[in-house]
Amino acid sequence: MGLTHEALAERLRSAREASGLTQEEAARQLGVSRPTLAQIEAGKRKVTGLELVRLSSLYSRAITDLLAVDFEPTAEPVLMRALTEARSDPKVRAAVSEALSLLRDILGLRDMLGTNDTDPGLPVYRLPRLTGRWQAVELGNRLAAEERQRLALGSSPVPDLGALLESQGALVLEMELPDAVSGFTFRPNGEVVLAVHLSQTPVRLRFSLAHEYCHALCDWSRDAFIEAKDGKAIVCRNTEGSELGEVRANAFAAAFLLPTDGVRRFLGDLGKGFPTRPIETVFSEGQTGPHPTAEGRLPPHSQEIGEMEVALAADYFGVSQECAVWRLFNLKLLGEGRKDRLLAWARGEAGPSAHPEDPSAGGPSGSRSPRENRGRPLRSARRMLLMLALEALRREEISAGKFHELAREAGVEESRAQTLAHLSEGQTT
Amino acid sequence: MKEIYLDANVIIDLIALECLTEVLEIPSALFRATENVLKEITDPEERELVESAISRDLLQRVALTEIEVLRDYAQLKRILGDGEAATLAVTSSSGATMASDEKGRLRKEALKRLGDERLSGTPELLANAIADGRLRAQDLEERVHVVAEIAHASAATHREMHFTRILDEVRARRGRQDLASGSQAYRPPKGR
Repeated sequence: MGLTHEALAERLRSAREASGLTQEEAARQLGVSRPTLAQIEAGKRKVTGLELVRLSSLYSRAITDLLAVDFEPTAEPVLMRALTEARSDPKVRAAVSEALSLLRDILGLRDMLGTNDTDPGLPVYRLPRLTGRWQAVELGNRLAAEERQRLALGSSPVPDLGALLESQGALVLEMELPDAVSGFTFRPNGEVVLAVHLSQTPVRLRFSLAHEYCHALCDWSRDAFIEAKDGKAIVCRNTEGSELGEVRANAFAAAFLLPTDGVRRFLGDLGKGFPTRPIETVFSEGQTGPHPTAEGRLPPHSQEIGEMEVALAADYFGVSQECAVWRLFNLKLLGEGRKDRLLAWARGEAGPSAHPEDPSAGGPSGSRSPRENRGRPLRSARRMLLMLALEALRREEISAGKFHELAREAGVEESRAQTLAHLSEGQTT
Repeated sequence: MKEIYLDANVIIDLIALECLTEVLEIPSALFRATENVLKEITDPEERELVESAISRDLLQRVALTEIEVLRDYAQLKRILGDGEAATLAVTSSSGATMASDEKGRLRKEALKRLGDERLSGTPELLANAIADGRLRAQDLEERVHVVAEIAHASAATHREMHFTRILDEVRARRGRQDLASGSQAYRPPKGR
């Protein structure tokens, strides 16, 4: 039997309830009175196309889902379930809704253009169950080394982590998230989506992305993810840093962005990282007596790692200075006391003039503000949406009107979208 | 009476040529626009003109409410803009005519569903308004001249070409001499 107006009305009511909104809240966000929405949900007033679009967005559902034959009344999107803040914060709800719509459009365009099978895809590593922090750190380090090897990165810095992940078929999404959330990993129908909090500085954003990358590689058998019909999600909150999966992801991020060999070579090029009194025993086969030793003596303090080396390493590897200090400490290149002093400096606790990211201080970072700090902007899902939309327009798979809608969603200005559409028109085959 | 659903680009072009009222007053047609299309007209002056036409019953606002139309609209939204999808869904189900100047995917989809006879555009509407005596050919030539010159001055080449093309199509429908006679026919400046 076909869908009736009454059945559609009932679907709208259950979709609203599944998203945790009261009639009052939903009506306010829809821009109608509560009695009007009540009439729609009671089947006494027909819902219009425009209202249906806005309601589906408000309830984070695809409009086609609400009209589908196999509608699931309680199927709340997994992201809404995982990001519990979305229930109480309309801004978070709107951001999640926007992200889901963006993903739907990207996946739809990939499907339309037949480009969804071209990426090799991220591997999934089967790792042992985590039992302690040391094991978590070790696994994070090992996984980072294996991934670097798989991607043939050697010991070099990764200039554009977003682009690297996109080349592996992952979607990178920068979006507004609750302050307590640094990012999330989401697997909708076989795709991998890595989302990071847009309001972070670029270097923190890179670290968060590397952290989510680890979750995407190995955390699909652990208990932390939340699952629903549309996929699985792991949400990372700043307060959960000591949870073992988070420890592993943090260790992975540091080791992936600052590989051991790369850090040692970088410091070696600066003439740092060697003992000040190196001693070497000269071995010879067949020698009977004691082997002779050779002892070097480097100038005093010449091997000390200070603010300048930390700033240069952070710049080179695209991480925060605080992250660089911790990594150098973990690689036993800094002692406890020096680590504390450098951390205080990196956090700006050593006085305003010494703050490395204070543009007015003229510190080691130069005159850039924290927002413009090292680390290139990530390639985001929005850019991918625009590229796919342009190609779909060129192939006449979508209309110019649809292209302009998608360009708006990708954050492209109207005049720029117009220019791109005309260029694409010129290339139409 | 022929029912014609207008797409946003047609309404905007008719406003730019100051011909909206003349076209909507053609007595042999009933003009309609979906609320999705009307939402796409965001310029305050254009909105005012459209609202005025609606209040004078020259244009009817239509909301999509039928389930099958909504389903079709939801599917079409994957490939078409919101207003385009709404207009094509409602014309497909009603036997009405769709007026749109978009080429590419929209035209392909519309031709497949409606055929050539139920697909119209700004040139046809203008030619009908001239045939009906609501619009003078000479006035249209002059208006296109002004709009195209403004577009040219602001280096909006695409817009200039768009209006020149509309005029050429109207001329072709009316017969070149007829439309151009007694007026200064617009030709794009040389050297481009």
